[in-house]
Parts: sequence; C-alpha cells; structure tokens
Amino acid sequence: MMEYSKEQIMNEIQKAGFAAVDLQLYLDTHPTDKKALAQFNQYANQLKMLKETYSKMYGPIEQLAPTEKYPYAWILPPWPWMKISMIEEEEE
Amino acid sequence: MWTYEKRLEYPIKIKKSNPEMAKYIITQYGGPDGELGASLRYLTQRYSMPTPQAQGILNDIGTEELAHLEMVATMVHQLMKGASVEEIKKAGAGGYFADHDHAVFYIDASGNPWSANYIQAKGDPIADLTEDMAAEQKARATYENLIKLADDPDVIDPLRFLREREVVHFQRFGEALEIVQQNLTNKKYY
Repeated sequence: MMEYSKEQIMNEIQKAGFAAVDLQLYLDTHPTDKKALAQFNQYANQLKMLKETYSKMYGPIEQLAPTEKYPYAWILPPWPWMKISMIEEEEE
Repeated sequence: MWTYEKRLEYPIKIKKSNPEMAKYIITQYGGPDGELGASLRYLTQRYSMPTPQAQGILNDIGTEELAHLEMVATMVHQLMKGASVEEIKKAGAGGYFADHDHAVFYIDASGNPWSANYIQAKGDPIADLTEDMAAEQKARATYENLIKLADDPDVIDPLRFLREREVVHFQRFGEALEIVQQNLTNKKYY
C-alpha cells in the first residue's frame, strides 16, 4: 500500500466505493442474498482500510473521522470538484 | 443525517474548458430530468413507502443522486473554469455569464430554473415508484443525448458512468415496485 501515489489510492477508494454502493442498493431489494451480503462486506472493509490509509498519508476524507493533522487539514485542497490546474496553482 | 466524504463517486478530470458543453450538461443539474430533481423526489417519497425494501431503496438512491449532482456540478465547473468571456460569448453562454458568471446554477439547457413542478410525491407507492422508473429512463435518455453532443473523452467517460447508474436505478425501482405490489396483494387475503 505504501508505494501507492495519492491518485492511485483515491482511484482504489473510488473502485471499492463504487462496488459497495452498487451492492448496497442490490441488498435493499435482495436482503436474503447471502453471497451479495458477503461481497458487500468484502468491499466495505476494503473501502474502510483504503480511506484510513489515504487519510493518514494525505489528509482527511471523512468529515467526522478522528484526525491527527494539525493545523486542521479538512479545509485544504483538493476539494473534489477542483480542476487539476487549479489544485497545482494553490499548492505552489 | 448525512456526512460528507471528500471525494467524487467517479473521477472527473476535465483538462479543456468548453462553455458550450457546460451549457448542455447543466440540464442534468437543474433540468426536468436532472439529478437535483431525482434526489429531492426520492428523498421526499420515502416517507410514504409501505415496505422496508421500498423505504431503503428510495433513501439510498436519493443519497446516491446527491453524489451524482456533485459530479454534474464538477463537470460544469471544470468546463467553465478558465474560459474567457469571449469564448463564453461565442459558445452562446453569454446570457448564462450575465446571470451567474462562472458559477454553477440550477437551470436546464435552455435557461429555465429548476422547479418542484418537475417532481411529485403522490402518497401512493405504486404511482410514486412508477414515476421513479420513468424518471430514470428520462435521465438515461438525457445522458445519451449529452454523450452525442460531447467530443472530449474526459467528458464522455463520466457521462457514461452516470448513464449506467440510471439503468441500475431503474432495475432496483422495478424490483421495489414488484415487492410493493406483492405486499398489497397479500394484504387483501387477511
């Protein structure tokens, strides 16, 4: 995990997050599908771990998760909507 | 309640500004079949749903639509970012610039503001879920039109993701409708 760049970890978060979202909706209408439930848990656990790794290395991703970063880093870029050129300007 | 995750559901990295495309995509922000209407429709219909499956699916699709609303806004923002007033005028977005500069606002592709007239909460789960299924198909068709209007792969890629989600939501609403109908039929035998 440590050799992953910021962008690569975010990409992994988006992949696991998408799988979790899709399976979660499926479970709403198929609550007795054991296989789907196991798959959901697998991706949800993966997502949790990836988010913890990202937060430790690059800054908070969950609004209400504990954070050791000082000064409080939540407000720092990148915000999700920012254009790459804009983030680079602000980081300079 | 809701909390925020500082990420998009699907990556959007548009390098080239294009105010003309922004003018079209904004319809999925504040237009009749857009993500604002979708989210608000489902989240307000959940209160009158009769079964756990239907309550859950409206709550959770309504929540995912908020993430899609953010994706659409991000596309419009990145397409407008860096565009000069001259480019905006040429793209036919001068009227938009007059009212909103480079900001992102809830209008359709022709400039009409978002309206609660686009949505309904009938208090009748069959009527509401049938509306929701139609809404997903209309949103899918809109994304297909937008994909036809686009030529930048950075724009087409997230549009294709959003189109695909409409198909999945339609499927889930169909399943919820079937469960609700079954539930209503069973009740008559008591």
